Amino acid sequence: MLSKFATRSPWLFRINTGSCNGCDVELATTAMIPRYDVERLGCKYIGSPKHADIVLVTGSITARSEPYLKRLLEEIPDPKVVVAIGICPISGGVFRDSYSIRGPLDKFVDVDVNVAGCPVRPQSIIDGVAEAIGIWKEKIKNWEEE
Amino acid sequence: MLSASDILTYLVFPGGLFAVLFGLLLLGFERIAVARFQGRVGPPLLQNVFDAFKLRGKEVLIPKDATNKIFFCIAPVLGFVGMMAAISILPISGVYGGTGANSDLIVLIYLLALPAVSNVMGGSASGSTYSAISVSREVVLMFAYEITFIIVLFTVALNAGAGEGAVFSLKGIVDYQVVNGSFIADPKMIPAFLGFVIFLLATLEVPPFHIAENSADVMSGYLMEYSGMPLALFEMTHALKLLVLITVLQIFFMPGVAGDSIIFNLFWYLVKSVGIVAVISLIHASLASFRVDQALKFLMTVPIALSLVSLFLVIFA
Amino acid sequence: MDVTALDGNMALVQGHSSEIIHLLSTAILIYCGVKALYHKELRKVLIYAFVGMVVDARTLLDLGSSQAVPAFLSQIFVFSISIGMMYLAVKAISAKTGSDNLDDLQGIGRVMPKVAIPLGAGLFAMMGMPPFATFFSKLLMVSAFIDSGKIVSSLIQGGAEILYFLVFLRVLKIIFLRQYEGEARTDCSNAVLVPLYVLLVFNIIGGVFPAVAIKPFVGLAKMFGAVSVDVPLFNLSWPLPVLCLSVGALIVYFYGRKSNKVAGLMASGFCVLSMLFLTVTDRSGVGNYGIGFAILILFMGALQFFYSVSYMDHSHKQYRFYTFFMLMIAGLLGVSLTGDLFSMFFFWEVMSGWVLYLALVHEEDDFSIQEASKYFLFNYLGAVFLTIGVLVMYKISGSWAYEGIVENFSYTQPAAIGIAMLSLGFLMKAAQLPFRIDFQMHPKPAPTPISGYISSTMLKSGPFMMVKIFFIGAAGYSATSFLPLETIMYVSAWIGALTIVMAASFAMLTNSMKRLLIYHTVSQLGYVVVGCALMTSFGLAGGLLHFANHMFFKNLLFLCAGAVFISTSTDRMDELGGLAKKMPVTFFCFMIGVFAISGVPLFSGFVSKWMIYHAVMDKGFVGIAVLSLFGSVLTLASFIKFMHSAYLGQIQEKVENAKEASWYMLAPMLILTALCVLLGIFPSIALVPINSMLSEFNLQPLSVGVNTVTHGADSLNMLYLTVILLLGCAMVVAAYFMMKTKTRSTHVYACGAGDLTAKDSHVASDNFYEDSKGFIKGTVKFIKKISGMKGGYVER
Repeated sequence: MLSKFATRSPWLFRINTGSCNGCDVELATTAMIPRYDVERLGCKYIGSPKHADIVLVTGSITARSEPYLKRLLEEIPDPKVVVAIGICPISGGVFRDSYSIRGPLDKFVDVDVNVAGCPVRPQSIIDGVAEAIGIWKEKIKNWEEE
Repeated sequence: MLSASDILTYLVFPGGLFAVLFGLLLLGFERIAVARFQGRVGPPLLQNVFDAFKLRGKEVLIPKDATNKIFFCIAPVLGFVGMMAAISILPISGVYGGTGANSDLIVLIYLLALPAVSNVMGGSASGSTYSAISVSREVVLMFAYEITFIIVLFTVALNAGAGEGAVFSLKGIVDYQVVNGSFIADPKMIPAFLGFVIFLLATLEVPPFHIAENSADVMSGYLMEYSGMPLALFEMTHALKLLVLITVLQIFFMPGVAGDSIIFNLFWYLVKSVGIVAVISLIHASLASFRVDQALKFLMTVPIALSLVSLFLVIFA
Repeated sequence: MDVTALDGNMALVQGHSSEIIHLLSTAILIYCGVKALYHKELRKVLIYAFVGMVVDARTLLDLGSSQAVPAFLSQIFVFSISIGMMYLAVKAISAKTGSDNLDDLQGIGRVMPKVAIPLGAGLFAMMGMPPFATFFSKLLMVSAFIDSGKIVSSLIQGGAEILYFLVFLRVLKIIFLRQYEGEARTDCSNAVLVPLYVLLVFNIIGGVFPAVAIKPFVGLAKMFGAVSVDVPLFNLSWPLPVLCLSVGALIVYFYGRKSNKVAGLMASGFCVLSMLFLTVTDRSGVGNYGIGFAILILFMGALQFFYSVSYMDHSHKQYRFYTFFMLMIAGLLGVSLTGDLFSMFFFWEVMSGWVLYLALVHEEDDFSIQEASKYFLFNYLGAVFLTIGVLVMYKISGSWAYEGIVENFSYTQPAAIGIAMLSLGFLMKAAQLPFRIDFQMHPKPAPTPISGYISSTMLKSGPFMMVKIFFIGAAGYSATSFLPLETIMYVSAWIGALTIVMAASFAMLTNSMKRLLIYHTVSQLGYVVVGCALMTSFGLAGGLLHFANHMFFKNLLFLCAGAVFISTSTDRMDELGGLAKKMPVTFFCFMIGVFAISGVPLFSGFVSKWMIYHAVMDKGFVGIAVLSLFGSVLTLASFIKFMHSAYLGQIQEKVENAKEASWYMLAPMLILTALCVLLGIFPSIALVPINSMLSEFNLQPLSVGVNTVTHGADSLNMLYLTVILLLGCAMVVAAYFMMKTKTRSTHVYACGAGDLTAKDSHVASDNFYEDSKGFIKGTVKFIKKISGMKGGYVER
């Protein structure tokens, strides 16, 4: 019962691992533009990884950002859900096989939801978040049983 | 000394459970109202309750570099208990008379400073640079807005004394206004009222004073390193602080009653609180934030001047 | 030429001649003073000073009053003894060194102590400090002026005194405090020393037994044909505890050389012993008020010496430090335990005179000498006002004892001036007056135990005596004559309130730990002064409660700062950071101290501030109430800066090897911490004794419960508040354990970066509050511009 309440408050945290900023702009639209208002789901973009529930990763994980990403993922409390936003973290996108790319994201962490697109559409982001909430619910249950 | 009814008032109504829930609801209402002013749908009304529930179940992270871990964990408790105590001493006109002892303005000032102290201590102990910057900003603001609060407080105390000294007792202030009409209808007190509203915005860190934990530049500010239960405690402290300040506003300026019935008066109190929150959210939705130096300049001039005008009017007229 | 015209001319000439003589002597006085201040040759400096002071004494003869002649005679005689002693000493020194040029004599006092001690004693004697005979002769001289109703002349006299004070201070600094950089020297032979020490003993006997210094000259004046000589009776009373402590100081000086530990524990033991003697001491004119203060004085002294056992370990000549420190405490004890104004003033001068100066310059570096000299000068100025005030009070009432003064007190113009002078002097002692704050603060570079003691205890003698004086003034109450006293009290309260805000704002600016604490001493004493200056029972009780509370929390903060200083050897907050990890107990004590000083409920400062605000508003002083409440915010703000930049944040280079303080230091700190909490929850521990003091001042006692304070309709129940707050804490803790929350430790969030150094990620005290600091600096600049004041606080 508690987990049902809890899942109505997913807080979103963004990690940009060398994105072209396209996906980030789309992420911002979900919060800022009245039409997509992600706050309806109880979501809130937060600045600190320590508050995060759902992690949205954009960008293709450049060599430079790799240690940062690792360290940040460590700093996020369990239970958490990882969502890859855009094609870059999913496969590397157009940057795939570049010498400076350390991706894709599932090398480093278990990705729960992939939201494809270049850039992703706001609708699909919201859809992805909604799906992530479903996965998160399961995770909370397992977490509480442990 | 501490009777069962005291504990009941502290834990259930008007303090404790009632206050936390009502405060959280008011925060949810504020979020909805802001969303609506911006043309969005906004979160559900119970959003902040959900937040609290969720945070309760999360893992608690303690930073390795926190200089003093005990201190880091104690800090949120300090603000929370301070606000719990503050809400239990505040009278609600026609409903609750406040505790006999400790129910006065000076105690109120010091209790109201506790959440800021707890933010500062927690942020400082966490060892984060963001928190340190936000601590500095928080205190700069506190330095500025407390003067307004102090002056308004003495203005109200003197006005309630009606030329025969100052009335410090919160109940005395409420009783005086119930008999002689609310101060908000008193032209002398209008500037003080405006000053107090500015103080309210600054204390609650609502735009235009969303500075210390402005997500645009210091991320979550002093809450940076907090997660799970302690963070929930901070959220609840914030809710209580909102409720305390709104109640103080009602005590100072509009403690009118709706009749003799407790139920009606309680209802009237709830309606007034929601109304005040609606005004706050209108300001929240329509203004951008100051920079910290602009805010300091503004707070050191406008609200202080306003409240001083009232003070002089009360003393000399 | 006819006779009448001649007579007229004669009268004219005579009138002119007395004026001319007066002008001439003033000119000589100033000329000699300035000459002495800049001259290089020590012997000539002494001669100039002697001539100047004799000319100064000559003005007494113009008065023609009955006191003038003996005053003049005793001045001349005592000066001759002192200057003679110094002259002989200088001659002996220059015979050895072959020069009496001050440049060559730098630090000579360090290598030839035996011959230099009479010289130094002579310098202090010429400043008119007890226990030397000059103290009484100077007092007699001012008394003669005041007896003839010339208060203004006596003030001018005071100005001259200060000029000559600077002369002697300069010589003192050069001879004793500069570093010696010459060849090795041996001290003079005993044959040379004998006459010097005979003169010194004479001087001291005259300084301890006033009758010896005064009586012979009265007889002499009668021989010269004075008809009736009516000099004030100087009767010095030596309360037993004071005697015990003074003897103890000498014992420590001679037997404490073995080790610092022995000396410190001995000093601490003597404080406890004196406390036992308190039970048998004479209480007339002292009352619970004095006894209460005396207990606190000795208690704090014992703690301070115990702390010094560890703190002074790395210093030098500890026995000397303990001796002067103990003598200072003895002086302070004398102030609290004597029942008459004259003995009070004598001990006052012991406390704030040379003993204090020598204890403050203990480190002997340039900065401490400079700062200590400033403070010495400020104290001397305060003493000038006090001298006049004390003698005016005697003139009005014809009695020294407080009881006698109260009986005979009546309001006249001089009475109002006397009370104003005394209030001014006591306010200056309490470091009030919002002008040059770097003069009125006690110096930062002194050893921390003594800084803490001065801040917490010694400066309290100001408000302590102020209350007594206001009480005397209030005794002469009548509807028409109360106005001057009301005005003085109102002005004092305003001075207190302004000082609160001014000192607390400066504390926001500073980067030095100790200076921050000293600013706050000045600021917190403002609260005490505000409370006491109201002279209502609630105000006085609040003031006195803060008086006691401030002792505990301020001393605690000083001791914490000292512990930090010992383990990191820096005083700058910029260089610190992350101490809480290395010194958790010190940090805990410090935080309690901060809570207490900024008035967080449950800790001691809260109750007293609550009482003071209520009392201020009873009187309707809104401005004072607003300023003092605002000061409280500033206090909190500046301590948050201290807390963050020194104890929290990231561990800095200097802190890496820091260790927790030793138990000798922690024990006093923990005792004080316990007191801060205890007095916060059960204020009655202090309020019950305070109630008995209130009845001594003919004020209505308060209604005080074990944990409640009631004021009209408002009441404060600290235990209730405590229980409520603790209940909240218990709930939270219970919830925390019931939830079985999982915890994990991670890095601090820095956007994922892992290569930041501690220095990069630490926000130091410099970076705090830029905007508020700008605001304060702007305000200070503005005030300086409109008032034309220069200089200001020193940042070092």
